[in-house]
Amino acid sequence: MLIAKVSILFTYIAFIVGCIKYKYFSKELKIIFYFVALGAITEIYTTVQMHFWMKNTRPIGHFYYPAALLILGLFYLQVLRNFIRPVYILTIIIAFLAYSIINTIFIQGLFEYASLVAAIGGLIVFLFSVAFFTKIMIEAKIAKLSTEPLIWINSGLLFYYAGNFFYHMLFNLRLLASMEVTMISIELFVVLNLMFYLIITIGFLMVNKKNGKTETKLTLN
Amino acid sequence: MEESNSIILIYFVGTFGMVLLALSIFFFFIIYQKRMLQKQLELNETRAQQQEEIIQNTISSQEKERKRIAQDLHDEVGAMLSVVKLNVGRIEKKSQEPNAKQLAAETKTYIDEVITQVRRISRSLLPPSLEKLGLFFALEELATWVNKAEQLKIVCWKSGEQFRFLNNKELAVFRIIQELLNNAIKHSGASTIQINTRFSANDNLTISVTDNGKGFELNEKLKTGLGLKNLESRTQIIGAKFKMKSTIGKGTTAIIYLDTKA
Repeated sequence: MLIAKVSILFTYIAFIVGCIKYKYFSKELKIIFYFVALGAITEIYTTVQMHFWMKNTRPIGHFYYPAALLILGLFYLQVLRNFIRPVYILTIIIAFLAYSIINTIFIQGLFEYASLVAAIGGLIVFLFSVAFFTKIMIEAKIAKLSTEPLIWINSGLLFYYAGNFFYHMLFNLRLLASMEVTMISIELFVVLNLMFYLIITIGFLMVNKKNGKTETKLTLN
Repeated sequence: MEESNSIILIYFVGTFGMVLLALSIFFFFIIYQKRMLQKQLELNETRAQQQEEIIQNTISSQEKERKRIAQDLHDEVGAMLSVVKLNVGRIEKKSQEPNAKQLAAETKTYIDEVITQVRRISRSLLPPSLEKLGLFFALEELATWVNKAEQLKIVCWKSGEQFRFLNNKELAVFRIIQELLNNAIKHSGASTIQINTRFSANDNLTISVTDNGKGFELNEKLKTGLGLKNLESRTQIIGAKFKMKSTIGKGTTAIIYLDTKA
């Protein structure tokens, strides 16, 4: 699938742009960079694994989705700390990580697609992104939204995890129902993935000396 | 088969619904944020307007009071002091005793000083030449009065033909220059202050006040001193621009630029 290759390329582009802009990143943006790095490393690992020993990439999902939520959870812990008590966010992260371990061992095995973990994790991120938008609405401190990196990144997270919720949730069932529909859904997933990393790249590109370090304060002018 | 179809349907409808939900949240956020910022902007503008009105009213009341006091000093106190001086003069003439004569002469000298101070105070409160002859003449008169004290020297230069503009703006500019001179006299330790007034052909006025004093740290004073902020407020009210630069050991320059037509 050409679109899949383009999507992977955007992951690497986001990673490279992140490397270049890293010195201007605030704490929150560095966490997002680690998330992008996780995505890039997962892609590389998956490619190597498929090439050299196993075509079934489902086991990696059981590690990637919890790790992704852990990193994104830490991101939202930073940006929402004056809005939601950190203990609530930490509780959600820890509960999710515990569930993902239980899911891998007892519910959906290592070689079954981690649909429940991915869907629940995605829902959590979706709700966190809504909370972040709510916080910004209430504070009303940002004059120009289009130049604010965290707005881009949060928007990307919102659309990506909203759009992929049912993809993850129904993956295993869809696979049994229709191969054709499964392929269409995978293409849709890949398109969302491409747009997601494109938006993150734009977010990283918006960072400069002035706004990179003041992200946490989100000040006007 | 039916189950498969429902799974497919749920997937497409669900995905579409979630994307729609995300879009709604996003656009709601954008629109709400714009409205909030708009409201905040309007609120800030209203506050700024109110603040300006308060300052204008305060300045207007101050000027009215100054005018009243200046007139009272000139018309009543000044007149009475002149009468007292005349009477003391008569006492000096008619007195036979040398001690009494000397006392009367000394008293006349003190009264002369008091009359001079009363005139100075009256002029500084409201210079009569400002309304009659214009800004530059009023500044020259102010310089003359200050130079009499021989503390320092104020030099006035003019370029271009003097033109008149609104009374309240002329008075406001005069007050600003007065304040700048007071600051320089009190704090700068300068020996010379130069006032350059430029009347441009297109009715623009530029006045610079430069001293050769010790200078000061401008950013520090802007944070802590109300005086400079008051000066800025006064210039903003009349629509003028105000700039100041100062270097430690090299003196201070303040520039006021006013488009008198605006």
